[in-house]
Amino acid sequence: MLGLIGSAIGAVSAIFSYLNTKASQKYIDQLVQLRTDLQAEEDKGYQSDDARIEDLHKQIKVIFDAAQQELALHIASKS
Amino acid sequence: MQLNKSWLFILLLSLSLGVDACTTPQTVYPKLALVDQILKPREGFSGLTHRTCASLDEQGQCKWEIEEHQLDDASFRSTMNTLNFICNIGGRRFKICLDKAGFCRMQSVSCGWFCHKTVEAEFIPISNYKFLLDAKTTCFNKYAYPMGDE
Repeated sequence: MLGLIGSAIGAVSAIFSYLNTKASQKYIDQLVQLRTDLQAEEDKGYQSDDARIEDLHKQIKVIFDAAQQELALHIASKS
Repeated sequence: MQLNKSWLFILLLSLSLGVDACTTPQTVYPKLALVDQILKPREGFSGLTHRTCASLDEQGQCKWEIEEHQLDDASFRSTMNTLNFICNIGGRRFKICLDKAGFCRMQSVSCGWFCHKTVEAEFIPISNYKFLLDAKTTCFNKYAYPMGDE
């Protein structure tokens, strides 16, 4: 699962790097932090906080959706 | 008469399509190692089950083989945690409890300045089987399969 998320985060980061706006850099920073937090929590194994992991996944999804929206807006503004 | 023949043709065509849909050849899959299995409760069972298409009959339909694992087996519970299994119960994340037959949801709580400990926030026993069925409980290796709608 972390492998899938890592790949998806990579793709989203690529989108934001392409857009190269201040908001994009903020999203990339947030994604890196979320992934770090997620990895740290997962590494606790049985002792990991399940609700926190769910919450981190939801936050990552919010940024994914934001990335898609930014890209769509960017494409619309160019056409 | 011409109209009757048309209807007969349509009826026969529909039947043949229906027969084809019922006998679509299925695929035999080799039995997976436990770490790659998706386990879930199933009607008529009391533990976590894994179903595979072990072989095909004369019509090309699966002869399903169902393997069941009981959660009152402490070594199985330990193995599931060693293999990093998590369970999705009604969209919420649980683990297989180490100390009892069921599913545990863990939570980090504060125990003072710079002190955190993990406690069991919720427990669902395997005996609550109907609820587990209703919640579409699914257990899997957390590195192999996505959780929820991701």
